[in-house]
Amino acid sequence: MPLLEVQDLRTSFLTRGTVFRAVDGVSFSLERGETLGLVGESGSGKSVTCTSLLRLLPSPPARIEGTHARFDGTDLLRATDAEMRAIRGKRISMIFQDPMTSLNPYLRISEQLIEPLLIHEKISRKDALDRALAMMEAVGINDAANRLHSYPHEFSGGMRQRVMIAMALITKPELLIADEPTTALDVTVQAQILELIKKLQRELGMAVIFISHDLGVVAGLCDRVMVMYAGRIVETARVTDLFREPRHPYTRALQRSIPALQPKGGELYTLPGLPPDLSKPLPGCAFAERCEFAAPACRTGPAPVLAPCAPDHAHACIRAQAGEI
Amino acid sequence: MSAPILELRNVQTHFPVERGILFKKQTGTVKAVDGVSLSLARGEVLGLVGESGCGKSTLARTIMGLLPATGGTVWLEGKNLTAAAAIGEARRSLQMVFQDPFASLNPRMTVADTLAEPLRVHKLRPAADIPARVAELAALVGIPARNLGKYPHEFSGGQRQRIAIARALALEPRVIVADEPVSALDVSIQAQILNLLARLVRDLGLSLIFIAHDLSVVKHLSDRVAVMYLGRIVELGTATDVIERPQHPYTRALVSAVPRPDPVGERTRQRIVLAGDPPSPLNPPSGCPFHPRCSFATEACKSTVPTLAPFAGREVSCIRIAQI
Repeated sequence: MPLLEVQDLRTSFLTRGTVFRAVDGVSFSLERGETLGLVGESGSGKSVTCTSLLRLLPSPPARIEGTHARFDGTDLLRATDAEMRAIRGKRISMIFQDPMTSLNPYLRISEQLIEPLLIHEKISRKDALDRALAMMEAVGINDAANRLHSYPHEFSGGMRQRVMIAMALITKPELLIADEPTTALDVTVQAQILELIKKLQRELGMAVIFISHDLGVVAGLCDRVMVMYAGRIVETARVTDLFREPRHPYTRALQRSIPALQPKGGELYTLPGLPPDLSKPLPGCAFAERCEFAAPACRTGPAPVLAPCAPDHAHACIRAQAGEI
Repeated sequence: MSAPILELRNVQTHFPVERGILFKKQTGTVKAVDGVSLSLARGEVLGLVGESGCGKSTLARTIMGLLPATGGTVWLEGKNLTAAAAIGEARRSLQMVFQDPFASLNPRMTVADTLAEPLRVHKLRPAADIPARVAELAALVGIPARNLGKYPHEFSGGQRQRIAIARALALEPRVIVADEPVSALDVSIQAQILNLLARLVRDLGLSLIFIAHDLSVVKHLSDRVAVMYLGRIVELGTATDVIERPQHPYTRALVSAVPRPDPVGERTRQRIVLAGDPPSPLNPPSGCPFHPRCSFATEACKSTVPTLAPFAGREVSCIRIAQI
């Protein structure tokens, strides 16, 4: 049984009488210990997919629907608040993008680190502090014993992100959701943090959902990748297959626009137009308006569904499925 | 090569650190830029890379005259910009594009107003000719003329960056300093702006100082690259040399840290992971500023301040470069 199985997740926001379909029928599953990358542009629904699963979105304006989202047998979409509280921060943890704003500036690091332990486990304050110290050392903070009682402002960006990781992992979660954890950091610090996540994942055997817009980061870290566009999954594959043989025109376009994969100085491929307005109905394929291969059939009917094209490789392009492109 | 259009000689930008409210006392100096010498040829794109806090943006602002240089000189076409008298006139030839297109445009001005303002201030053309020039500028960066009456909030990030570039081009500058112009943008939008910058450099004969932390972006666009660490340049050479065959230990680590979109290569590659954070410019290490994080450092590195010297077709600032 997979650790997490999501079926037809739909999240919409109701604002000023308009319905924005941020996540529009997302289904996937995740095995224990697996690393799943979630890539796409801003506004493609990557973060909302994950915050919906953890039920972190205020409702209203958010409305979360779906067939089910089973985490080890519990349906996250229908669990009671008490059940959610027992899972959130204990069995599923999340690291947020911006380490500058996700720590409480008024509380010492030590207080913030032991908070999940005191809530979720029967543990004394002293034992909790010992665990916090061990965790600070595990994430590579020098002189951890002295720095444990510092305030967040005394730490640099990379150190704060380490504290965020320590906080997320201190309860030994089965699933870690990392939402662009290195986007705000320098490349040298990013390399340290990515190595750290890999090492801790091996040691704890946890599954990771890694949200990123950087295909380079995803290439090095993930086993499997899902590409999102306008709230829908357009392609999913093992990471090697996705980079070697991208099938969906959107994935291909993304690859052709990365400078690292193109000859120096050449014209980069650019997508015409803008992502679609999610408050308007999107007949057919959401990408059709910007797609160089779009045919009339792409713009009508229901959204194309993911269909397998090779083992562990599926995409939602009807023309590629028909072998036309 | 003809005379450089822009030349920096030993530029320093130091900030005093003060204590106390009434009786201020200087307790230290942050050497944000500490002796940078560079030249920029006509039509050249010079990439400037380094970690946050290394002084890239301070250097850009010093070149622009937005921050006063505390030492050294900046020459633009033979005029000394650091001498106060020259600035007003010369600034027309030197324009800047900022990182965040959401913050660098005035939300209360329409696109047409934003593009017309520099033309009015510098009285370069009669008022009657301004609308035509504004339309021309918008066309140059691909903003449709029908959108000129709109306000910045009606545009996406990529379009706003186009407007900011058009504004920088309004006074027909010779040199543009672009401080992380694509960092805030998505990959597909980033590609559009990079193509636009490359086309403008080619078609208008501009020189460009391009600051970014994404090395693949810098390599794509730049002719030469300067790598900064703690206010100094540690390596300077052609983009291909510096990024494909880095020599300075810091450049090697920086290049090695960049994740590549290649799943097979990423899993087998040996990566140099630097320990720790960059040191504080308030209290820089003695000798070579990189020595505490450098795996090749010796006792001599702690006391000798290295200077840029030619090595392997570029300039490198490392006393041990011949041995490592």
